Amino acid sequence: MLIPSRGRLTTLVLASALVAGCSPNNSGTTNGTCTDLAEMPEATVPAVAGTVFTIVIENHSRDQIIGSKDAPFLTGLAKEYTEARGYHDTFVHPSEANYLWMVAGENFDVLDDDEPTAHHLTSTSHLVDQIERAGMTWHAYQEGMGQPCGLKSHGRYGAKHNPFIFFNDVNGWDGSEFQPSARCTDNVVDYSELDTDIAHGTVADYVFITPDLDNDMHDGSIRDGDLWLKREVTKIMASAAYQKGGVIFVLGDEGGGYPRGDDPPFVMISEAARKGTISQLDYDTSSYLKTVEKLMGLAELPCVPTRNEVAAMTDLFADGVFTGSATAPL
Amino acid sequence: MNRLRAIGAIVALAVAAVAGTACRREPPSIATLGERIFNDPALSRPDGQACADCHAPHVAFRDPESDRATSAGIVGGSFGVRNAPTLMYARFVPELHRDADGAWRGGMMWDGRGGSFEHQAGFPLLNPLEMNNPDQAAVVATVRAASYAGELRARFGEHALDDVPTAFEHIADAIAAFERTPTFAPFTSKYDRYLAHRSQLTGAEQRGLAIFEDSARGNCAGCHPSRPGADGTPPLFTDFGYANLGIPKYGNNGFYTQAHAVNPAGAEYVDHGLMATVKDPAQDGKFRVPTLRNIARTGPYGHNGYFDNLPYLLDFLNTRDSHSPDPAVKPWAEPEVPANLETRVGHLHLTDAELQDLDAFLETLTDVLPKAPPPVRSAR
Repeated sequence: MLIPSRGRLTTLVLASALVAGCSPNNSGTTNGTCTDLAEMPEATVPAVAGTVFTIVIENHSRDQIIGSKDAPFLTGLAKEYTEARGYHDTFVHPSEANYLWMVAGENFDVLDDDEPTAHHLTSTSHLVDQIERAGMTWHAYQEGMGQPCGLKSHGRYGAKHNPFIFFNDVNGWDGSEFQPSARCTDNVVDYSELDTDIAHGTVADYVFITPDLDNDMHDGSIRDGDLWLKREVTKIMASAAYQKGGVIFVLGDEGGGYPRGDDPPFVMISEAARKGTISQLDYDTSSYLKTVEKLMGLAELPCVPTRNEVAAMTDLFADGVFTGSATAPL
Repeated sequence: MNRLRAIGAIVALAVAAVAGTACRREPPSIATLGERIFNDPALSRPDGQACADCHAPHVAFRDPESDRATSAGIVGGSFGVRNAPTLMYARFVPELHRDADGAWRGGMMWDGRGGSFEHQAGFPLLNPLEMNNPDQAAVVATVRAASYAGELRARFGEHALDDVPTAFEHIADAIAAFERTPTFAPFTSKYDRYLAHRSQLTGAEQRGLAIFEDSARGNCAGCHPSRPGADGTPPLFTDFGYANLGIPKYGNNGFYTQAHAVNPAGAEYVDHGLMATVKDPAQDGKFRVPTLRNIARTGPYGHNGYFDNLPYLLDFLNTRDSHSPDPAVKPWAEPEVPANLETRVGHLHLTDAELQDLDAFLETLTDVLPKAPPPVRSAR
């Protein structure tokens, strides 16, 4: 039986969510101590052979997008592949907290959208640390960023939507200033470089894509965002990185929490998907991260003390994708 | 013996007096009561939204949900039309008036309609797109049932909450008293320390300040005075005037999708700013010049939150009349109100390096702000 992620919190937050029209429900905020990766299990063989892609969209709820005449492409993907209709954020706001959660399993008590100058995160157990420790590769493609390792927002690029640059072991914060190393400048790059990497067959094992503030629907329309997804996801699906067994997650960063339709959209595209499935299970951002880690054979949620209670989103995948039963607690 | 009795009586009286003093608890100050009201989420209808939800201390008393251009109200799906401004330094805003040259200055809210500082404090409580109380009586009823009601009576008088209009006035006065405390105007920025000769600006910050004050380049200080007044008053970085910067409509403004009864114009809604307050077409599209104190922490920017980040706003002010050099930035859209356009901006001809310096200087205007509080659902 699946254990609902953060199930114990569900009842607690419901009462507040019922009335939380505006008030940010930050009941999920955490700043725990991450387990050192040396104390976590070694990486195992990834469940899929291709790249694990994540594309994050913004500021619109599931019910505004899925089924909307303005979003025929994403709606079509949701029908053809899989959609997690029980997905919600982990009750932290605003955006930045949720992006951090996507790559670390907690928000380090960050409850604002401030620039990296305001938050210096010391964790060395976040996702890309795990990926590198396992000998795999990662890239963050940030549309509108321009120069690599952009530590400051400008124009259509929002640093708050680029979680990696908040970690000291990526941005090179030495206590007084940033000293970005090749780790940052080589891996956190402008979105335009994805075309080159696809063409050269050098797409990394894990790819995190942030469209610019227009194309992620933050400031642009749902229609324009869907057109962007149609162009870009189609391109990614045609790439070798996807065709050899890749997975593409398209999800919103956060939702209002009530009604449930105000939760963010979550669509998963893959030939390994349990196609045509709409999952109604209770999932959150930790579930998503655990699923990414499980797909890549990584240790799961080193920053989440209750990691064993978090369910991976295995019902979105066909039987046999993961070792053992795909519907058992993982 | 009589003398001993007399001494004993004096001692007993003294003890009683001390004990009496110790037992008689002084009611909290009006500002302290205002703080409790400010943080009380029971004051919305339905309850769940406090003033502090859209004006949080750790983000300079603006909306911490800064990913949204405008703030969500307590009723699910409701959004105001404008960007919630910082409350810091708001107590210095004078009431709306014409200056000696006939220009409008002061007034609370973006469009000056808020009247006095005390008057504005009650506005959000009754706004259906914010805290949604149907009337003053609903607010007063909630306060009468609050844990601090007795202290309000002790401070304002036994019958302070009996009469609704009077009680509502006390509530607004208390909130305003809290907003007048140094918490909202600490003057603890690096620039304040620099003015007091207790800190040095970096090279970039110094160059940024020079651009800020140079009438031939940024000329920002023309509307955002940066030097102390003649009496030593620290600069507030606003002249309290009004301008139409030519900011475009923000397409994702949640107000556009409100019910017809609230916004019959839908996405065609045009925000006329000061004109709606003073009924003068010469003021169409103008909004009050905000303070730049804590500007680096109070995004998004502009009356409608059009600019997600500060460099984006600076880019607009620099190149509004031509095009941004940033290839990721689309051509600037038309102003929401083309009339009365502020012509001192839009063609500043600042280089990228100068804009970065300007940005560095603006960072120095950030006060020492508290950390985010732990999530608390109720003050009751």
